[in-house]
Amino acid sequence: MNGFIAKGFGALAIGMMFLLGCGDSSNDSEDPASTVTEVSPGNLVIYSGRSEKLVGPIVNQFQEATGINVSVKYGKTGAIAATLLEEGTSSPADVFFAQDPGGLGAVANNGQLSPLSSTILDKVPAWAKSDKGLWVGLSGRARVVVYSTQNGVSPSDLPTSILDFTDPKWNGRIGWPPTNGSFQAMVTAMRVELGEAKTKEWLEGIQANNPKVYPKNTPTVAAAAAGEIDVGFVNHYYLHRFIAEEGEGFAARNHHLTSGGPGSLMMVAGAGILSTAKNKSNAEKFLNFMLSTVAQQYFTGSTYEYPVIEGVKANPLLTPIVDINKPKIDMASLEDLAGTQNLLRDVGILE
Amino acid sequence: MNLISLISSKRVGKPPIIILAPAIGIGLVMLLPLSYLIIRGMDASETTWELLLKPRTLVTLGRTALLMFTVTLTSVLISVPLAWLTTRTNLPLHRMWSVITVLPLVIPSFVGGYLFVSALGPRGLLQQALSPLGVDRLPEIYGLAGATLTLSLLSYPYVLLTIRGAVRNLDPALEESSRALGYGTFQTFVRVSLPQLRPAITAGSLLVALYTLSDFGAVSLMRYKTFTWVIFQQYESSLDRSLIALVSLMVAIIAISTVLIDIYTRGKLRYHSVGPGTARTPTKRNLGGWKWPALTLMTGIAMASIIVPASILWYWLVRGVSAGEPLSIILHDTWNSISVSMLAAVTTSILSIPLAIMIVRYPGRLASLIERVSYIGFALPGIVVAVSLVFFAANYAQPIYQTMWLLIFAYVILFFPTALGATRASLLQISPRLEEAARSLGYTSLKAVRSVTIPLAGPGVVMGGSIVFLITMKELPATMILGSLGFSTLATSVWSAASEAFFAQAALPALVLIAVSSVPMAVLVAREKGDFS
Amino acid sequence: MSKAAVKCGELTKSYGGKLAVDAVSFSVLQGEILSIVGPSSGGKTTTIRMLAGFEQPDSGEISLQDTLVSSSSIFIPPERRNVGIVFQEYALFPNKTVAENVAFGLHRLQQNEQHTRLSDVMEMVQISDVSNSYPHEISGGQQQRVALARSLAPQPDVLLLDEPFSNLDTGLRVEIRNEVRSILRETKTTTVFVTHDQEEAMFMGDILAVMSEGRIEQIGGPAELYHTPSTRFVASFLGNTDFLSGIVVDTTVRTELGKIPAPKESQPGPIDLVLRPQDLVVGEGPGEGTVEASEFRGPTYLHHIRLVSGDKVRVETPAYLRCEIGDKVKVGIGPHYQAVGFPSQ
Repeated sequence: MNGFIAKGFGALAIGMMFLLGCGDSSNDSEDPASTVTEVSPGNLVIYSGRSEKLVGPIVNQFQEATGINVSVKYGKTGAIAATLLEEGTSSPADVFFAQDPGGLGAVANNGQLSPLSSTILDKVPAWAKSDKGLWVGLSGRARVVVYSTQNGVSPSDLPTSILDFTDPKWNGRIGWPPTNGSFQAMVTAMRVELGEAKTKEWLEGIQANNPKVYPKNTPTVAAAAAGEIDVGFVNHYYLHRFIAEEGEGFAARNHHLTSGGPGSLMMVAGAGILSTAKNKSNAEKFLNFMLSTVAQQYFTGSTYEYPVIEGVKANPLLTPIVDINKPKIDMASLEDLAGTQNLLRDVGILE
Repeated sequence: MNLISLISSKRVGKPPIIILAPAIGIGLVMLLPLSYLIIRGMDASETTWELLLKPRTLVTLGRTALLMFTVTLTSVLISVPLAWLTTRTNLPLHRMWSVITVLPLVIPSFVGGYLFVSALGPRGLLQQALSPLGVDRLPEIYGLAGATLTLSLLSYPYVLLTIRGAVRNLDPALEESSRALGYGTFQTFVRVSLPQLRPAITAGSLLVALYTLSDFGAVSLMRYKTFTWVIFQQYESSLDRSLIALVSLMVAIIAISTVLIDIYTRGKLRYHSVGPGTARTPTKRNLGGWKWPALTLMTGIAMASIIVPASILWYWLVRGVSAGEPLSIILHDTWNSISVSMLAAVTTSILSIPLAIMIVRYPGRLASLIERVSYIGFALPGIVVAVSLVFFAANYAQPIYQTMWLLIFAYVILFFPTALGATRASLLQISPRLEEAARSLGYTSLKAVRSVTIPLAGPGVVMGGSIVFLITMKELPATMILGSLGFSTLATSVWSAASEAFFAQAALPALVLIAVSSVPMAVLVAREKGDFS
Repeated sequence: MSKAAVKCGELTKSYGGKLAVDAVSFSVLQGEILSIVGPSSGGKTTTIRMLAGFEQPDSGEISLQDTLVSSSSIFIPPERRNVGIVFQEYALFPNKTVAENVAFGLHRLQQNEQHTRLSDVMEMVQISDVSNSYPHEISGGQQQRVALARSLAPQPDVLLLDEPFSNLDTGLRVEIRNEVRSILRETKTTTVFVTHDQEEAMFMGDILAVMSEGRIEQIGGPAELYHTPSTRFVASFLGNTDFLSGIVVDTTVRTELGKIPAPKESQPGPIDLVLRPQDLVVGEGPGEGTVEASEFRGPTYLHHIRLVSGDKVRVETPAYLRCEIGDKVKVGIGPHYQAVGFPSQ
C-alpha cells in the first residue's frame, strides 16, 4: 500500500512539473510570434457572451483573413458582463460580443464602451444599434411563439397578437422563460410601446393562465416538442437548431405574430468596443468584418439568425424579414431591464 | 479576542508555525469571496434593501432550506444501504457496484438536470417507453420533487464516499452483542450501527447540503426557486451587483449555520482506534434470499443515476452522427480538463493537510474557525466566487489574472472542503501515539509527520484529491470566467454546444468527461483495502 | 550503579484547572526499574509522558542522565531525550513490516551497524521469524515484543513502559512480563514502568511508587511498601487488605482476634490493623465469625468472614480446609504477623 501511495504522489508530482513546463513553453512561443515581424497585424481580445459553437467559425475566418492573433473568452453574456464590470479599467478585452442588448447596456452604463466610428454605425439600421453609438447589432433574432405539433396545435389555432394569450382558453398550455434576457427585452418593449399598466395587465393575465416556467429558451422549445406545453414564448432560431439536430420530425414549429406589437419584436446580438481597448483598430476591423456580407451570410446560414445589413438574404428556412411585422422600437430602449424586473417581481413572476 | 487566546486551548500544545501559517493562510484566502460580497453589498441602494427585506425572501429562504433538507435526507437514505451492501455483504460483483455507485458525481448538474427532464418529463423518454402500456402522460416532476430527485441522484456519492470507510470498519462485536441482547437486525442497525456512523454521515451530508445550496443547473431546470436561482436570474438579466452580493451573503450565512450544525453534531467523539494492532476483520453477511432485492436496488439506483443519463448522451451522439453531423476533435479540451483538474486536485489536497492536522491534533477555537470559513467557497455558486476573484486579481494581482494559476486558486476555494474532509477523516484514524513513538525514536515533529502520518493518511488524501479531480472536471462558471483567453475544457464545450441545442456535439465531450473522470475513482474504489473476499 | 539516571523534582501538571500531577519527585538509579502503580487517572501516564517530553510540566524539573531536559526555562523535545517508550496500544506503524518498525529508530546509525543492531534486537526479543510480517498479521504477544524491540533498538538512556501488558491474556501476560524483566535486567536498561496492576508492579519493580490523585503516596522497595505501608491508601492498594479495629494499650493491641504486640511507635488508643489473608488462620483462635463466601483458587481457598463485631476479613487457607457458607468458624491471627496499623478515623 505504501508503494502505491508513493507511486501515486510521484506520478502527480511528475504530472505537475510536466504541466508547469508546458505552461511556460506555450508562453515562450507566443512572445516571439508577436515580435518577429514588425508589420505584425497585432492582437485582438474578444469577450464573447455568445458560445463558441455559434461564433467560433466566423471568428476563425476573421483571423485567417486578417492575420490578427485573436483570443476569445467565451461565457454566458451575463457572466461576461459581470466580469467586465469587475475588471473595470484593468480589462484586457477589446471587444464585447453579447447575446443581447441588456448585457451591452450594463457595460455601456458603466462607461466602459467607447463610441463607434460612423463607418461601422452607418452599416446598421437605426433600430439595431445603440442610440449613443456605443454598440451595434450584428445579427437579428425574432420573438416567436413556438407551438407543439406533438399536441396537434396548428397555426390557425393561434392568435396574431401576443396580447391574446391572456384568454382563459390558454390556461395551463403556455410555457415561458421569464428569467431569460430576450424574454425580458420583449416585456421591456411592451412597456415602451403600451405603457406600464397594459404590460402589467398582460403579465397578470398570462400568470392567471398558469404558465410553466423554464430557465431558458432551449428547454422551452424542447417542452413544446415533448407536448408538455402547447405554446412557448421564445426566440426563433432554437427551433431550427433542434430540427437540424433531430430532423423534420421534431414536433414543434414557429409562429410569427403577424399583427405586430412586442410579440413580434426583432432583437439583436451585438458588440461594442471597450474604452480601455489596447487594439482599437483591430477591434474596428472585427466589427467591420462582422458586418460584411460573408459574416452576415454565415449568421443566417449557420445560426439561423437574420442579417442586419442590406443586401444579404435571410436563410430560406426562416420567415422572410419583410413578413415580420416588427414594431418600431430602438434596441437602445431595451438596454435597461431593471424596470422590467421590478414589474415582474411585482406581479410575482420573479423573486 | 486575540490570536493567542484563539490558539491556546487547554489540552493541546500550540501548533508549529509550519502548520499554523498555511492553515491561517487558507482561512484568509477563503475570506476573499466574502470580503468582495461585503464590498459590493455596501453599495446597495435603499430599493435593493427593500427588495430583500420583503416577506418573499423568507419564502425563498424556506424553499432553500427545505431543498437542502430533502436532498440531504434522500442522499443519506440512498447511501447507507449502498455502503452496507457493497462493503459488508456478499453482494455479487460488489467491486463493480462500488465503482458504479460513486460515478454520478462526475455528471455536471446542467447536463444531469437536462437529462432527467428529457427522461422523466411528462412526455419524456420514460413515458415513450411506457406508452405501449397505455401510459399517456407522466406526472410532472418539476418543483421540489424534481429538484430533490435530480440533486440527490447527482450528489449522494458525497455521502457514500464518506461513509463507505466507516461502514466497513463498524466493529462486528458491537452488532453481535446487540443481536445477543435480543435486538433484531433493523433495531441493531438503528440503535448500534447508525450512531457509530453519525460522524461520517454528517460530514457527507454537509457536503450534499452545501452543494445543494450552491447548485444552479438542477434548480433552474426543475423550476425550483432558491437563493441561487435568484442570483443567476440577476446574472442572466439586469446584473444588479449589490443585490447579487446581498443574496450571496445570505447563502454564505446559511452555509456557515449549516457547518455549525455539523460541528455541533460531530461533538467530542474519539475516532482513532485505541486497541492494539488492527481491529477484527468484519464478517461479510450472507444475503441469502435477499440477494435479488439487493441487486434490484443497486440496479435501480445505477440505472437512474448513471446508466440512463449516459445512455441518453450515447443516443444523442449516435443520432447526430447518423444524421451526418460533424464531430470536432476534442483531444485538446480533454487534455486541458485533465491537466487543470489534476493540478487542482494535487494543490487542494496538499493544502488541506496543514489545516487537517491543526483540526485533528491542535483542536481549538482558531482551528474550528478556519474550518468553518473554509466551507464558504464550496457553498457559494461558482459564478459568485469566480467574479469575486476577477475583482481582486484584475485590479490587484494583474500578473496572475487570466492565468492557469488563478484558475487553480479558484478551484481550491471552491472545492477545498471535499479534500479537507477526506484528509481529516484519515488523520482521525491515525493514533497520535504513532507520531509520539516516532518522536521518542529521534524524529522531530515535522519528520514524524512526514515519515509516519502522511504515508498513513496518504490513501485518504489521495481520495480527497480524486474527488476534487472529478468535480473540477465538470466545473463550469469559474473555468469560463477565469480561464485564460481561448481556454476551453470538456465542460465548457459541453455547455457551449448544449446551450445552443447542439446535443450531438454536446454528447461527445460529455461522454468523454464522464469516462475520464471515472478512471481515478474506479481505480481508488477498486483498490480499497478491506475488500477481502 | 549509584548514578541517578532519572531525576524528577516537584513535577506539576494540570489540565483545565484540574491537577493531574501534583509535585511529584523521585529518582531512578542507573539500570533500575521503577514501577509506578495506582488507580487509573492517578497521574501515572501523565508523569511518564512528561518524562518522554510529550507534555510540558507546568512546573518542576526533569533530569535524564544528569542533563536537565525540562525546567521552567528549558524544554528538550522528545526526539533529543534518548528515551524509549512502549505504549499500551503499542502504536506499531501499520504500514511497515516488523523489521521496518524495529529499524525505525536506527536512522542515525551506519547501514551495517543498523543491520547488526536490528538482528541483535530482533533475536533478543525473539521476533526474527516474523520480521517480514505486518503488525496486523502477528499475535498480540508478538506485537508487544515488536514494540519493545523498537523502543530498545536505539539503546535509550531510559525506557518508559505505559501499561504495556494490559492488552494481553493472563497466561501470556505472565510469560511476557517475565521475559521483559529479564531482558531489561540483561541490558541494564533504566526503566520507568506504569501499571494499575499491583502484583505486576511489585514483580517488575526494583523500586515501587504508589500514586493516587496526582501524588506519590509512598516510594521504596516493593517489600517495604507491602509490609510497612506508610499510608492507609498504600496499605489498602497493595494486597487484599482488610482493616481490623483494635485498641493500643501500652505495647499491645487488643482486638477481637486476641492480643498482639503493638506496632512500633504507635500511639495509645483506637487503631486499624492492616491484615492480609495470609496473616490469619481459620479453625483456631479467639475470634469467631460467619463464612459469607468462599472463593476456590486451586491450591487455596479465600474465605470471606464476617466477625462478631461486624468487621469483615478475608482469610487464605489451604484447599483442604473447606467451609460452607453460613458456617460459624473460629478465627485467629497467625504467629508471624508483624503488626502495622493506622489510628482509627
